[in-house]
Amino acid sequence: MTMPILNVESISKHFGGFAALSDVSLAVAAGERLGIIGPNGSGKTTLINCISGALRCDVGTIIFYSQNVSRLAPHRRTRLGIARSFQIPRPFFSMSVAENIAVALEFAARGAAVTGDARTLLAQMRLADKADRKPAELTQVDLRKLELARALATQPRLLILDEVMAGLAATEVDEMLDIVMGVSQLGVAIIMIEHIMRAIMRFSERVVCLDAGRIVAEAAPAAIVQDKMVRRIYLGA
Amino acid sequence: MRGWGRFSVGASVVLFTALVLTRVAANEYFFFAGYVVLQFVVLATAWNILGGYAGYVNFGAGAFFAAGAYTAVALMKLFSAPLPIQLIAAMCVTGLMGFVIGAMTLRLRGIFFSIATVAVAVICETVVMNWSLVGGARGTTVLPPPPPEGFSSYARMLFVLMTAIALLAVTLARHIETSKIGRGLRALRDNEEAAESVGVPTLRLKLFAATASGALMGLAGAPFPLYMNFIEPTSAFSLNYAVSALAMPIIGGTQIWIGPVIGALLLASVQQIVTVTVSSELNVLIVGVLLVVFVVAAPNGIVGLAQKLHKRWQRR
Repeated sequence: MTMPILNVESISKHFGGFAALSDVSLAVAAGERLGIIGPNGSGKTTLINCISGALRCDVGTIIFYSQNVSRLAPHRRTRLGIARSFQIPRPFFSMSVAENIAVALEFAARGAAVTGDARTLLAQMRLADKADRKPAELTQVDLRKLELARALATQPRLLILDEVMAGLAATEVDEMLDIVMGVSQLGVAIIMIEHIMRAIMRFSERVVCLDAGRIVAEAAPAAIVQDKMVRRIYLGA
Repeated sequence: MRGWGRFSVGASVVLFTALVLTRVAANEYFFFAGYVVLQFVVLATAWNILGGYAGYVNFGAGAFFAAGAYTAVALMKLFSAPLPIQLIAAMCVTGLMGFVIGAMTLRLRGIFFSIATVAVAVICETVVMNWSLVGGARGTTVLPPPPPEGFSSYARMLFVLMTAIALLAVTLARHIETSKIGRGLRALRDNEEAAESVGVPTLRLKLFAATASGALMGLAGAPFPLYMNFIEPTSAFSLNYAVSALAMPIIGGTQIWIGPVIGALLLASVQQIVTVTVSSELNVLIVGVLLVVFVVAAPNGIVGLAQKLHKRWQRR
């Protein structure tokens, strides 16, 4: 593997007496596509909350481009190039779709020239005709696209997707996958949490399986579905 | 910036009109009542910077107002400080108050800030009650200096001053609203975690809004002792300020600077009229009833209602 851009070094996170993450280590290379699977409550969302800064890990360090970001506020991590989507879309409801993107462009653009305005980004997401709508008028799949577009507007070097395809129809899943693969081709590293195995298999170069706050398996997608532990705790076969 | 030209022309016209009125209007009561209405424009606009744009409700507007007033009184008693110094000092004191309360509570989301503002109101009133320099619970008399050159009474001068302060407050609010800060505040009001995830420095913006809002409330209160010639804690910390400061923006509309202005002009005028024609006890009741009606029937205020009707009209 090339030099990792993200190094998660034995982090733990407790909520009261409950260990949501214990001693988790993870590395992501530049441009890599990493899938994360695991049963509900296994710590997937906690892990990305710790990486993005929505939560602070209790112990351990998170290194992003040789900088320790473990104690940085989330907006600072975004400006360094860590972007995320939320499992349940969290649009800015009082703003139009285009304004949602504009906020991200305005606050997170990191020095470098903004790679196109809100409209071009929306065109990439096939949302251009809805630029002036309010989020409340959008369908589920469009809300997911908006969530993704807003994360991309921050010009990330690492994009973390928390179940962007949950609840979508099969054709919509394919459409989202196409978009995500397109982002990957721009050189952005992507961590994707997903329960839809078909999507994980097509997307990932490497898959990590979490269970009860620990990484229990790590392999190429073809190998992970053969893993006995993964089959027992997650795939149920 | 687009729209600023028209805005500054409007502001100049308002200030000029106020000046002309002090020359031509004979009825002294007009300035007395007009001052109060304008003072509420400042309070409502100030409240809206944090409460409307950022969504953090301040229940202690009365405390900020009174802190401004008592800062002025203390400076007069201690140093016979002139009015401009009183205004600047009041702004600094209440701006700092906003910043400190914010720094203690705005790291947390939700209602902690609101609870703290209630506590601060109680603390401030207790301090003033027991501070003999500013008159304690009995209050103290403040004699205004002779009216400055060109004004036939001190009340007329204060009327023009409050007009200028109101214009300053509205200009600042409008500037915040249309700037990057305003867009950041709007994002964090909609969803704070999402705002952080797109790089909005939420804590810094909230602290800025709390400071600006507090400073303007103090500025609204600073000329109050000279206006009344007398100050005592019960009227300075009156519930009416806290309730009105939040009811006026909500009734007018919190999304845009004109909302609190409309709400304040309307409600404060009604209050003044009712005080004279019916009874001075009805004030808070009227505000309360209107607040309930608007929260239920028109949650986006008069401005929101007008926009809705305008849209419906266009569709025909």
